[in-house]
Amino acid sequence: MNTHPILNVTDLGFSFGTKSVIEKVNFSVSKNEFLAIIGPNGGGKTTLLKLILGLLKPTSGTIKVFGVTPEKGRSKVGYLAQSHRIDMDYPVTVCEIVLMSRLLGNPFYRYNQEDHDHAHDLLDQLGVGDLKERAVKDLSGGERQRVFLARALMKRPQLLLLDEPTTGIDRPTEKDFYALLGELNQQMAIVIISHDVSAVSKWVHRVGCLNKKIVFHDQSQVSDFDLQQMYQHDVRVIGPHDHD
Amino acid sequence: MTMIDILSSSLFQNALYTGICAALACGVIGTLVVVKRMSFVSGSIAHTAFGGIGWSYYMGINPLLGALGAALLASWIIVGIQKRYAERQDTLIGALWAVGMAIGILFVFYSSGYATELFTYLFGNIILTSQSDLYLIIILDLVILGFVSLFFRSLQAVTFDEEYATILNLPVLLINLLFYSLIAVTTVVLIRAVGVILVLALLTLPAATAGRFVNHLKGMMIWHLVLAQYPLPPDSFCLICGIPLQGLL
Repeated sequence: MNTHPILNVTDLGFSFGTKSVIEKVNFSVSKNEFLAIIGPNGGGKTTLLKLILGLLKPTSGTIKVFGVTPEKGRSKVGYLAQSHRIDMDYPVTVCEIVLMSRLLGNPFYRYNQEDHDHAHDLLDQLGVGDLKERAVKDLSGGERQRVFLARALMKRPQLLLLDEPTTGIDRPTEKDFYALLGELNQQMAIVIISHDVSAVSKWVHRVGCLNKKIVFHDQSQVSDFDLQQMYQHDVRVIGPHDHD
Repeated sequence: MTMIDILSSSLFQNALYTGICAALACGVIGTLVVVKRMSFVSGSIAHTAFGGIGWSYYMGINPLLGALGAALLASWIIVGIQKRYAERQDTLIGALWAVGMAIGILFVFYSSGYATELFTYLFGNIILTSQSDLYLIIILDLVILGFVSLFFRSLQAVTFDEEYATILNLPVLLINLLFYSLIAVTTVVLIRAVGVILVLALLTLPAATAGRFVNHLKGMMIWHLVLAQYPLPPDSFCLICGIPLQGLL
C-alpha cells in the first residue's frame, strides 16, 4: 500500500459552546486505505466528517486534506451524507442528482454530453442504470444510497467519505454495498462512519473507535469481544465470506 | 360600452399583461418556494412589503418602489436570521411579518388624505395597473427570468442539498441571497395583481398542484406558470359584469 498521507488530522479538538465533542484526535489516511470509524451516538463521528469537509471549524488542532485546508482540498473528496438529512420529496430525477457534482466551483456550469455519459456509466456500474429518469422520492433506501454514491463518485474523488451509508437498508443490500466499496477502494481511499458496530467490515484495513477520543486497531486486531467491551452492546462483523 | 370595447381598452390590456407577468414570475420562483418549504418566509416578505408601500405613500412616491425596497430588505434580514439564529428563525420571521405590517399601517395613519388606494395593494386590483406599473413589472420579470436561467442548476443544487452545494465550493450564501431577493421581486410583481394578502396563495398553490403531475423542477415551473393564470378568467368576468374582483379571485 502507498503510505503517502492524503488526510492528516493533528491534535484535533472541537466544542459546541462549552460542550466538548472531539478531543486530541490524531490520525492520517493513506492512498487506497479503507478506514472505518465507529462509535456510539453523540461520540463525534459526523462532527469529525464535517470538520474534514470544512463545514465546521476546529476549536483546536489542524486538518490537512491533500496537504491543504479542507476548503481547498474538498474538491477531491467525495461525500455520501446521512440520507435522512435530505428532503426526498424534492422534484429531482436520479440523473439530475448525479450531475450536480459537475457544478464543482462553477455556479454557471452547463452540463455537456460527456457529463451525461459519465453519469449514465456510473449509474450503470452501481446497478441503478434503469432508474435515470426516476424521481428520488420513488426510490428504495438501497437505491437512494447507490444514487448518492454515484453523485459522490461523479467528482472523480481520491478520498471518499461515507456517513452511515447502510442505515435503513436490509442486510443483503448492506453486504452488496460493502462489496461495492471494496471494489471502489482499488481506486480511492475510503473513510466510513457508523454508529452501528455491526457495520464493521472485513474489507476495512483499520478501525477507529471514536468517543470524543479515538483509539485505532488494525482490522485483524478487532474482535467482537473488544468492541463489546468498549461499547457495551452486541457486535456483528460482516465480511467477504458472508457475501454470496 | 360593448364587450369588444372593454377587451380592447388599455385597462384590460394592462391587466392582461400584468396577469401574464405575474404568472411567469410566480411560476418560476413559487415552485422553488414550495419545494424548499418556504411559504412562511415568502408570506413574511410579502407582508413586510406593506411597510414599504405605506412609507412610499407617506413620501408621495410610487408604492411599488417602496414595496420593492422593503421586500428586498426583509429578504436579506431573513437570510441573516437563518445563518445566525437558525434555531429561532420561525419566531423572528413571524416578528418581521408583524412589524412590516405595523409600519405600513402607521405610515398610512400619518399620511394626508384618504388612503383608499392602499387597499388595492393589500387586496389587489389588477385592473388599476398603470402603464408605469406595467413597465416596472416587465423589468422585474426579465430580472427574475434572467437570473434563474443563468443560475438554474446552482439554485437547484442549493435548494435541494445546501450542505453538498457547500462541499462543491458553490457560493451558497450568495446564491441564497439571490434566491431570497428574487422572492422579494416576485412578491412586488404579485402585489399589483393579487395584493399582499393573496401573494402567498398565488405563489404556492399552483406549485403544490403542479407537484402532483411532474417529478422534476422545470416541469413543475411550467405547470405552475399555466395554473397561475387562473385569476385571468374571473378577472375578465368581473370586469365585463361590473362586480368587485377580490371576492371572486
